[in-house]
Amino acid sequence: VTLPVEWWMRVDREGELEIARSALDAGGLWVLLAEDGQGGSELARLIAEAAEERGRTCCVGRDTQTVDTLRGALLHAWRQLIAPGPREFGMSDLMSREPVGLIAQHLRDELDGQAERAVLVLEQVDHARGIDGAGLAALDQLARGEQTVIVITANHRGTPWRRCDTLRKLRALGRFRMEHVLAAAEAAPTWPADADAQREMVQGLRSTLGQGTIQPDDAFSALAALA
Amino acid sequence: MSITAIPAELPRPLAAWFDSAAGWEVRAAELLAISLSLSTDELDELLRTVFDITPPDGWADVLRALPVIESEASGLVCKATAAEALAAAFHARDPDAFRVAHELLVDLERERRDAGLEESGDIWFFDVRVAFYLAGADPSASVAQFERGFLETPGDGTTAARMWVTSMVLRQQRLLADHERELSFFRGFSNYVTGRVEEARQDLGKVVDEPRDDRITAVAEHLLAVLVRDRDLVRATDLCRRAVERSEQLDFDVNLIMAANTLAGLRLRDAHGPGEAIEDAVRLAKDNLSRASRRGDATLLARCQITFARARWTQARALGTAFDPAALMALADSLVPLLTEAQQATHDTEAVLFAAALQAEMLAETDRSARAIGDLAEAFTLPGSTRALKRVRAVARAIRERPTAGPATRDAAEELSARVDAELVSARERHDELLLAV
Repeated sequence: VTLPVEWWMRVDREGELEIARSALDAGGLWVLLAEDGQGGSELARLIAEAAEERGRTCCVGRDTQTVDTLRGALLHAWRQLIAPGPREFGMSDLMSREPVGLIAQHLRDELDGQAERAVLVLEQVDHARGIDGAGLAALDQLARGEQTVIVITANHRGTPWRRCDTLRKLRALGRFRMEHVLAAAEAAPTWPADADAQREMVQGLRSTLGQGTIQPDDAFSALAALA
Repeated sequence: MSITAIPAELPRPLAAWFDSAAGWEVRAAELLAISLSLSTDELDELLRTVFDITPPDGWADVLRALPVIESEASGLVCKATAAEALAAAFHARDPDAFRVAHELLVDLERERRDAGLEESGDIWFFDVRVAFYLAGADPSASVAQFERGFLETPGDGTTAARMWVTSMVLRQQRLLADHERELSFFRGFSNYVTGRVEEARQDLGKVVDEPRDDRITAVAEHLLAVLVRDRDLVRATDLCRRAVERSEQLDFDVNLIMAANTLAGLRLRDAHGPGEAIEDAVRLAKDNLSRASRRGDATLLARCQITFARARWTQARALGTAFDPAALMALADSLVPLLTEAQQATHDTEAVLFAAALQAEMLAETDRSARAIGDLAEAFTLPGSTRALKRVRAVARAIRERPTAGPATRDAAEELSARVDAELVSARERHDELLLAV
């Protein structure tokens, strides 16, 4: 169940996408550290697109409405694999007492049964608090063998990712530079052919986004406004 | 173009989007900004009821493509970076519609709660969500319901559930600004759990400095005791005693167990040989163990089992040669099964490692070093905090140095100690390398 990629999401993420492409070949656990506003969900869509371009199924799991958002993301992904459709609220989803390791095992069994190797992207897994030992062990279990698990975090202060045996790489998402935002703006449906109008649009973006590096969510809002 | 003037509350990039968006898009974003999440059907109903807007065909796909909206398992959500400003703008522009929308959301959650849910955990979950929406309709009722949600979490995993409630309270800070004491408590709890020690001390100190006979004060006293124990044992002990007494008076069982467990640990810290402090610790830990057994929370029970075993072991060792070696062996044999049970019953890897380390210490000191190091090495396959790993290493090193340990046991202890060293040192290097290499 892949969400569409919008033109304004394509700002300066080649480094992260290169990591994602490596992850497709290498398997294991790959962690991209992103706090609120740093474009984690847009990157998840770009990674899903890159995976599908390589002929791989990509499953994005995310559920920040649960008490345990790692469990929520795993259940979301699992449900998409076994029965795509909207989630219904209920005890089994919200507060399931099944250990997170058992949910990971169910999910791995489903992934192992897929005709093609799937890629699992988990978003906002530490939305309310850092992931504990049991959660890290579950991710390790999921990422063993040929599975590729890409985690995009919500809060990179509270989780000791280095404790995961399968961890291949950690990378913190950065802010954007203006030249990258302007490069993306050229794909806007309203990008003018006339040089004067282009200069005016660039000035408008500079005025909106200010000096220095740019928070990704700010860039996305300003770019989307061009459409 | 937007159907209203650009609100002053919005930062410039968000204002640019606001100005360019269709009116129904802005209103939909505002409704999502005050919501936790909404299905498209729920959002459609709210747009019609609150704003008398009928969204155009294909509107859900349009929304999913907006830069302020995200999709997840339960439906649509507004991005955290946009939600606060959009909600504030909505509130300022149309306070009546803002209140009506919250009242409708309260009703929606109550309908969900009452829709044949059988598990107490579900009722608790929806009550907390109701508290979230009440913040925009009745802030005092919201705070009271949030407190109940925090204090009466169902089943195991209390900290995770409390952090979830806390995250919801903090998201509504603006609407709950008249309840500063309660907000200080929730900020303090969040800072405590996430390791921002100084901020937590300040926030919880504000609650403790205005004590009331309520459960929030009892929790704050206990947490503050934990935060100050390394710098002021006397104050920590005093705070913890107050937390225990207050929890007893209020029949606040879970906090009573946690605070009494901490108090037993503080009394052990205060012990220098046989005497009142150790006896106090043993009595507290014993009483607490029977309370925790009745509660049915495996992790809480495991932690109480560890403290009880540690108190009894410390009591026996404090007697030194006055304690009969055969009696020490018998004591170890009675406590080791308790620690094994604790390891098997909980999913809390931290508790498992501490229980395993204490168990190994007892076995080694009763001349069963080979079994001690074998069991400890097996438990070390679990991940744990730096503090837990250092404890495992200390016990392994102590076993290595025991004169009665055979060569194979010493080798095994040396190997385990080296494994922990490697984990502690290379993990940090690996982390840095992974973080910096790209």
